[in-house]
Amino acid sequence: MNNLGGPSESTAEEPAPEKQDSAQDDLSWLNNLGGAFSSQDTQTPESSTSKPFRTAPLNELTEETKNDTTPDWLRNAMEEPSMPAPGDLSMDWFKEQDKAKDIPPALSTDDDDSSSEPVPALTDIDLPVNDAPSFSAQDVDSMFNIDMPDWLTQDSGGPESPLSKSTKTPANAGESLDPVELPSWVQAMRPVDSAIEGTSATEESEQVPEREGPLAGFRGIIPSAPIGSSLRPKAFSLKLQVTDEQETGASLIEQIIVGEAAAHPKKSTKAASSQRALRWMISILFLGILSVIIGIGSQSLGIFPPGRVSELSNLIGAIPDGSPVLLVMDYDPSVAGELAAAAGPVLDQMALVRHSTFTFLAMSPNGPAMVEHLMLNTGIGRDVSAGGLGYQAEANYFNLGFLPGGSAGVLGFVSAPERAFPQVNVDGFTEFEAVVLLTDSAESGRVWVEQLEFAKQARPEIASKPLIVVSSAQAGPMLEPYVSSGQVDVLVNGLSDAAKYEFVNQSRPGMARAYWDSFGVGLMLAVLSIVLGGIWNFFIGIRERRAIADLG
Amino acid sequence: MSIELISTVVGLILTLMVFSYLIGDNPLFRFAVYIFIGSASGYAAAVVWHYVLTPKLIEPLTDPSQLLLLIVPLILSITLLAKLSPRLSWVGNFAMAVLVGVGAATAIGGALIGTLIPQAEASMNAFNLGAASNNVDAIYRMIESSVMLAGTVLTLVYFQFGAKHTTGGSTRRNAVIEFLAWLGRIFIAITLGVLFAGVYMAALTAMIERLSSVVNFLKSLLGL
Repeated sequence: MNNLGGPSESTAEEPAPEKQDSAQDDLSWLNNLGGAFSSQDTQTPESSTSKPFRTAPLNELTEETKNDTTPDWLRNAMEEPSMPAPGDLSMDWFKEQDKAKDIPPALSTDDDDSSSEPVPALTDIDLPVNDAPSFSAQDVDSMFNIDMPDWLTQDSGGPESPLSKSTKTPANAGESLDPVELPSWVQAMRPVDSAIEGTSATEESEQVPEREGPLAGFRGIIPSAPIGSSLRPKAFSLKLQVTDEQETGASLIEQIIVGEAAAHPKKSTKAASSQRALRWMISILFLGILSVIIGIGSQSLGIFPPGRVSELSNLIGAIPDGSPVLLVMDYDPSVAGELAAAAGPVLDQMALVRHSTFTFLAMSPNGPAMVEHLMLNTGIGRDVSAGGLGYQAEANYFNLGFLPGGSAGVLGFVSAPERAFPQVNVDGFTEFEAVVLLTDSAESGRVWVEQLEFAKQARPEIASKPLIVVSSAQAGPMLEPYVSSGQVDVLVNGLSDAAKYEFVNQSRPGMARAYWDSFGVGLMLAVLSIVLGGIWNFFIGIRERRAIADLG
Repeated sequence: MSIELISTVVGLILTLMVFSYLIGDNPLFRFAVYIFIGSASGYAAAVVWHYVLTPKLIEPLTDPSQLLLLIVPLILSITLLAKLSPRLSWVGNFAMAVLVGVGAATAIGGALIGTLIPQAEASMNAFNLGAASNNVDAIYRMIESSVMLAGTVLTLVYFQFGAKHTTGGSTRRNAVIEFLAWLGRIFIAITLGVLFAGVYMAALTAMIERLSSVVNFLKSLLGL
């Protein structure tokens, strides 16, 4: 029992077993174990933690410590450790421990074992070598740091303890096993009944007590029912718990996926060819009729000038004679014909009546080329002998070129045009008596309106300069709110407004008026095409519905 | 042959080549498009060099007094060229940040002062009947302002897609919101119709201008 760390005094009091077989079956070793730990129970927690490697009884410890002047910290360091140091991989330490264990205590020359008291041989207790560790009980306690159960810590030396009674009758242990009183820690370690569902007290009483083995006499330790049958986890349904809305959404997504994956029937060649024929027919109709109207030079359609035209005339009339006017070229070549026709009457009146000096500024890289095209098509840049106004570049009009930077460039130019273009013919933006914006895009036109409004906050004199916008018909509706708010003085929206203003301006330069009849006919053709196409599709739809109804 | 006649003939041929797209995609149309793209790109590059780089960056570098002022934009513009290389594109990030930051700040400031505030004021002032010259004008202004306000509000309501769950699990907008949104669709349809009409009128004018040049050229050739 030295292997279990039991003191020699407690083992000496045990009677020697008469038979080896009976010694294997009885539970006397539990008594020894209890005696071993009963001596430890007398130690204080501090001492057990400060001296974890002491194996001698407490009374011996006290005798030793009386004559020992070595400090505790040095004594602990000088003692041979009961365990190898961490990291020590050598097995020599365990070999020495095994050698010491193999030597019977009677043959040992150790001073502690030289007492005359009888000590039971190790062979009397059938313990496997692996189950007999060489650690003392304090070592075990210090290693696992657990609280010992009460039955191990109770005083085993008393004559009235149950364990001492059982140890006193080892001869009868092999003949019959009396029911024993289970220690509290064993009772606490009986989870079998609680783990098995449906086990009741009546079932427990019906269970057969164990007859053999270390569990002999115990009832209900091993369950009668096969393990696993009652502990089998419940079967859960794999069906998803979804709401109706989620099911609806899932079905909708499924329909979309199926619809996308399904192959659609290719349109028949007959339908495609009919569409192409229809497109050719409409194109020929438009080109033929418009070409004829342009060829004959028809000018029979009337023009009704609205009130906005008079506002523009009054505005241009207020511009000082010979003053510079800024013209912003902000359109693509694709709409050059429309913008030239729309801006023609405005520029013609400025040049003819007010002799204004034009300063062109392009917002796109292709803008500088558009300047010459505009001056020639409107006739302002043509010679007087050719029916034009004879405006000359660098004398009557200036082409500043391309202004980069978008909105930041516009703001920079409005703030200081002479810094952006040193060759500009003015000393400041306020010298421009009017600003004419020619644009085909509502976005780029909005940039100029916004930046001019932004510059007015710092320089209120800019607010007195009129802003005239000549826009393509596709951008006019989006710029109309700026006219309503007063930020734009006059808006000339496409060919329709230009023709009306040209009518007031003595039909000069005549471009808008020349296009007016064909423009009106083209609009009527579009209206007729849309209406006839709608009526045709309406009757086609009715016929298809009747056919489906007849089949159904 | 004068330059004007040559340019007119070239314009006529290119116009007919583009019109050939009415019978379908063909090499003549593509050839005309390639010529347009190439000439436009080349002209744009020449314009940028002639109107931007040379007068604003190259020529001032010869003036020592402006050299210090131009060193920063010169470095930034050079770093922008690093964007052509995926490995070195990070070098141009600072110049891009300057461009985006300045551009966005200018646009936001302009939109706030030039569009949002003035348009809101104009919408409110439209109901000021004191500015009307007579009763007829006042009634006209009142009707116009009411229609404009209704169009604005109903269009905004149409884009209000908030809905609540019904007992059946589906979602549905409020009945009042649904009705106002239906009215808003009418205004949106009218607006889209106006925009479509504007695009059609612009295209029609461009086509008339091209047809006019072709017809007038043919008339001049025929002596009519």
